[in-house]
Amino acid sequence: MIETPDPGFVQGAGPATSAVWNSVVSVWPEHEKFLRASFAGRSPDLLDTTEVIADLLARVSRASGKSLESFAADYRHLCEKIVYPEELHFAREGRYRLTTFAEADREVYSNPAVMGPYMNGLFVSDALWFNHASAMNDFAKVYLPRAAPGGRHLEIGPGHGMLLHLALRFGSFASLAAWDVSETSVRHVRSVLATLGQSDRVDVRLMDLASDRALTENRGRFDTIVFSEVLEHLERPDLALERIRDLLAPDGTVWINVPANGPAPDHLYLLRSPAEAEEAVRSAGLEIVRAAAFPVAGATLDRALRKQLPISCVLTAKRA
Amino acid sequence: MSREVILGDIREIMADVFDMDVDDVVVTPDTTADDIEEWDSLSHIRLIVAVERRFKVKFTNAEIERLRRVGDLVALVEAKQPA
Repeated sequence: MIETPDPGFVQGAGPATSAVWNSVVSVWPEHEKFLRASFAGRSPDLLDTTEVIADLLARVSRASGKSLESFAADYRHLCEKIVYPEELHFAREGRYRLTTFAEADREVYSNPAVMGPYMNGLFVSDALWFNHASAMNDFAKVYLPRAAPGGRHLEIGPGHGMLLHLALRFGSFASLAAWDVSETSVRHVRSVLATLGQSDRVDVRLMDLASDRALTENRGRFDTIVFSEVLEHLERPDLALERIRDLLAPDGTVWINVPANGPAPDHLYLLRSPAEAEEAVRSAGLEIVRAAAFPVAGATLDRALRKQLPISCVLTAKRA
Repeated sequence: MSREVILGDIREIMADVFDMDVDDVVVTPDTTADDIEEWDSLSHIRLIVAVERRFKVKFTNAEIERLRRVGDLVALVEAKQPA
């Protein structure tokens, strides 16, 4: 018999975090063991970032009329029906299932029945999964404070808008831009920013990083670039990293977040360790300034490497 | 292969997958994930695949989802052994 936890389930967790936790446990009691492992030993900084993530989720939930329990149900669907089958394939075969963007587009991006719960579930995972929340925390509490005030900021592939929200909250930029190749994603990010009352702060536009226009209009333009959970979706990650190098101002830095051993239905590019991620970044003419690695909840980095478990690899780099 | 032998082999696999000393893995047919801290949803998948490799069997997604007790796993392996 698993008891529903009190809102004060872990010391220091805020009310929005507690609400997300309780929503998930209410629709998926068996998941509480994972959640406890995922929250064990979270630092005050990480709990604070977790609360910012959970609070954004709560605001998007209210604005969209979709309950937290509904997000929690999507999260359960993400874990059980979307990620676990890919984990099973990865454990059996030692590789990701798909290899081309066209396959991922057909199975995921152009399939609303998959894409909706997938994106909602990932939003919840940013608060609940230790590795996801830790990467967000690295961005908010380590990267952003070191970025010089008044810079030009770009995010490529802003997803559900979480890192833009953190950039607005913890950064001090002169301008913020966000590019995506998906019209649906552009609309989604704009609606999240509208919910936050921040629509006029970020230039969100349809732009393909690989296009000539992206380079000719923006060479050397950006002081900070965010490239989070995009690399693994690409057939040619090398070209994307080289393009990012060319978009950086001479003293600019890029914050990259990429999973190692993180199977998902739309992941094509498999990295097996943080070292492989660093090598890929260096090969694109970038110099690593700082690196951090966050293993999946309940695993040490050493165990995650030995057992090929998911690791969020965070890299800050500049032009070499 | 008897159930006792299968159970013994699964115990060794569990020690490897969960990164535990084999002497610390106390397993009975009634053991579930609730009894072993390291047995979570991800390590469950690794356990299943390690058992598949050891016994040269393959489980369906439905079979994997139904597995709760170690005894269920033993019975499934036994059922898939050649006659």
